Amino acid sequence: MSSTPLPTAAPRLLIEPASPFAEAELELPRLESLLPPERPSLLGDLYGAPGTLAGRLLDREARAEVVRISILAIVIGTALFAVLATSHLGAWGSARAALLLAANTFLGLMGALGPIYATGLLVAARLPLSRWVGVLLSGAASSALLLGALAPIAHLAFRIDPLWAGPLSLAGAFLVAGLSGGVRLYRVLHALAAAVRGEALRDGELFRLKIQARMALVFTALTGALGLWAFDPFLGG
Amino acid sequence: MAAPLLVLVYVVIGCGAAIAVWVERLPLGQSKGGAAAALMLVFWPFFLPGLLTPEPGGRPKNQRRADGIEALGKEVQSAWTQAGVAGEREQALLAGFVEQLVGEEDRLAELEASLSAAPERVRPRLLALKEEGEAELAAGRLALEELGAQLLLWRFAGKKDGAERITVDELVARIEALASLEATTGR
Repeated sequence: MSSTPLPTAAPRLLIEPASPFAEAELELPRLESLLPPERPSLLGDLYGAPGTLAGRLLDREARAEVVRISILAIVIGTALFAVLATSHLGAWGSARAALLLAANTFLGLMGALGPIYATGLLVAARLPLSRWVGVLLSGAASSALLLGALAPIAHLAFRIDPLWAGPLSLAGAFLVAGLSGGVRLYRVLHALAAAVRGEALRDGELFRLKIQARMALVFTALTGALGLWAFDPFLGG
Repeated sequence: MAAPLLVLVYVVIGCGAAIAVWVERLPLGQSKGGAAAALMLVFWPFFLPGLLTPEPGGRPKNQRRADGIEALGKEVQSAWTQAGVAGEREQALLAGFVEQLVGEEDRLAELEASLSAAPERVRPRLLALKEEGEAELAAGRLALEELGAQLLLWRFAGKKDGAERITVDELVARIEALASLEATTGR
């Protein structure tokens, strides 16, 4: 008895073939254009093309969602980093570090918002505070997720050498995550400005935009570092 | 002593904002009701600016632009006076330029109002004129903003004949060119 072959999935047809008897070339619609558009996830947008995120930041509803997801990403990234990097301190020490590092990050961001906004006023590149919040938090979220990804390295370094390698890897992870967040912030700011203007930015505008991005990085680093100094999340005291 | 007071102030503001969100049923992204109120309570510095800032489109567009141009003109005039180098020629040029921009704004408002009732065959041309006018307004506004920023810089830089002076002169020349261009085109 011959077995019936199992049905196989038909290849996905994207263009409907034209009839060989057609007299003229027909402009047939691409079948994929009839499918509902795939909306990329917001978490993916934190690392994706800055233009997509800038589009979300221009819309009030979408901006609130960007802020909400960024807060979630910051909590997860910083808590993961703190727990893994301070596993040598025990459960209580790790939980304390996770709580303090997340709280410190948010306090640092809140404290930096005012000076960053004032910088925009001084260099004649005003951005509404609500949009600044979205830009800053999305940059910090991408930075915090990278920090979480770097956590195993800090964990291993503390196991190997808690005196030198551990603290150095800790500082290195913050440096790398901070710089990547700064670059991301600049790109999103640039995309936002280009989307609002609808044309390429001139040299003078680009210069002021860079000043703003650098000052944002400096202020956030300053307030974040002050918080780390005040809270001592990694000492387990 | 100061820390508990700061925490208390933070919590009081957060409670007020959370109650407002709860009563008005305002959504924060996809969070609604209790979740939105809880988010607002803890993270109000991030959400409150978005709720309090009027979005573009909340007021009539023309009114917003005209207000902005006049206020910007006053800011630049004031910056010029404070810098202590206000020449009569420059002041007159600036006042005339702001007046031109406001006139251009009025013209645009009329154009926008008549667009909906305009016949189909002239609508593309009207739209093109509207875009041109908006671009001119944006260029004028940008020049005013840059001039205001440079004057502020000049005021604090101390040296009245340095690089700041050159930039201000260049900006004044740009504004003069824009003003004469608008006068030539009759708009």
